[in-house]
Amino acid sequence: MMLFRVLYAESLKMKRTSALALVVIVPFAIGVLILFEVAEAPFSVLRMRNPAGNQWMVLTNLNLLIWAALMLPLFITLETALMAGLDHSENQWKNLFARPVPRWTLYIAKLLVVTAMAAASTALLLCFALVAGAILPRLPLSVKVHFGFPVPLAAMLRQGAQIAGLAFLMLTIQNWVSLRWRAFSVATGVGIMATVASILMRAASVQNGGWEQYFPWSLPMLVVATPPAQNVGAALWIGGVAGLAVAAAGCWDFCRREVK
Amino acid sequence: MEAPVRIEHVWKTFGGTAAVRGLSLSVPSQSVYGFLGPNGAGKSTTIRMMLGLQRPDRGAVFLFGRPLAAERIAALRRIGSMVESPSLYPHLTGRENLEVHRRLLSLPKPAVDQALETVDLLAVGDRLARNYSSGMKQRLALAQALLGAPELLLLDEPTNGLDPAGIHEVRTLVRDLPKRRGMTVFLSSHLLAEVEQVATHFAIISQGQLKFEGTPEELRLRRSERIVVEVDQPERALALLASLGRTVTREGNHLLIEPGSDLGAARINAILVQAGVAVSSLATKGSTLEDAFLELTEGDQ
Repeated sequence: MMLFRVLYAESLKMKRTSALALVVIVPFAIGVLILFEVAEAPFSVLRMRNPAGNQWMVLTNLNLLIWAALMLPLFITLETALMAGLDHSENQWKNLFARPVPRWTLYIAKLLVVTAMAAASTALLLCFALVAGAILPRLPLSVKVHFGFPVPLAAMLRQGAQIAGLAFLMLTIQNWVSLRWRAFSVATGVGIMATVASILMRAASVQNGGWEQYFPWSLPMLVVATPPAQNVGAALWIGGVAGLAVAAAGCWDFCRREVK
Repeated sequence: MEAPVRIEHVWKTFGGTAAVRGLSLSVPSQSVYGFLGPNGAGKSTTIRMMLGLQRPDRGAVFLFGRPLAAERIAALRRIGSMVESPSLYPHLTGRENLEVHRRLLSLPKPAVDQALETVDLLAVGDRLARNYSSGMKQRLALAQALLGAPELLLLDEPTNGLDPAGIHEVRTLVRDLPKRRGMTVFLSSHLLAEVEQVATHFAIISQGQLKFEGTPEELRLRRSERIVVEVDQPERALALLASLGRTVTREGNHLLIEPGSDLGAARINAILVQAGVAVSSLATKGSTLEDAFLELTEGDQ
């Protein structure tokens, strides 16, 4: 009940913030970029594909690849930092901790809100992929693309959900860092460095294999890996449990903190 | 009636420096309790410990007779607070800022407008808080503290940044709260003049230690009257009075005799006249609260 009260308050705090706008802007921007790339780029992955293949999944994979490798880690970095910043600014903690609500509810509410934002953005990204699939055949392209029916919605949703699920561990880490340190630059610095490291790790894995499965920021890439990763299910379990452990540790740290 | 706040032998240290040293307080119910001390005396740290924002290293805080450490949530339900500068969400309106806290407290919706009305911000409640003047921000923070009509109101330097009219408004509000709403107000300040006009009880803290606790009258009585005497031979009179063990300072032909023994004005006059010193005038100088405050906090400024 207390948690619902805090979530209810948290939802109001987001009003007029860029944190809320980013939930729509980021997936929309990716959708537009992919649409542009497929329509204009001469070496478009989609165009080179065999027309008999499932073009919906190719389009979805294009969106999810950019999302999992780059935009989702950056999105989580920004959202956790912005949401924590709402209460770091003007030292709101002294007001919030003086209210009759358990401190853990304040921490968990932040975590739930950012998790919901990441899930909502992933869902929107899939929606924009569907819209792109509806628009592309109607464009006057030199090589026609065709998106057959039925749309593989279940497969698209499964991949999106897996990516969002594998991002949970990095989200809990970023949430802890953002709430632990007041400076925006600490949270964003950690997130950007980790995202770059995850891309390098993925590149190294092409030669030596498997490094990315040990790094929280590169776990979502397992879903869109080429060749497809076989350990997504195990990674979801391990990442989920590790994410819960990090959330519990962060919550403990948050609850014992003194406010100056 | 149980004291809303009781602090027992509380210590708090930061990096080896004791900010609060063995402090004990008891705040009477429905009083306006002025908590005075120079900057850095440990007032804000004490308030933070009273709200559970910081933990005492030793000692205990009791709110409404219950230990805060064990029953923090229950105690905080009965408390409104404003610690130092106002903490607002600048991107929200004044009304939305209060709405955030209303939701946390699970209060009925009209509570927001009631709080805005109390601090005279109802007309500008839909304006973004970032566009408020510093005085309006201070009043909005006060409205946050008043939300839900708490039994105990903790205010830390509530008139910081306010103009004289704003200070007057806050003072009037604070003075009326115990009478109109049965609240107890704990008012921290480094400005004696601010507290003097509203407080029914005082505590003076210096270097983390309690120097005085009681009513304004008790504080005044603590300091005896000084005697000012004008003489024709100030050097001789000074030596004579000093030989009797009095602390005397000289300003031209005037001697300021500090209290400290049973020598009254009449006796001093007689001693000086018998010694051949002509006394032109002799008067007692009343001790103000400010004198007492400065004396108690001497060396901590």
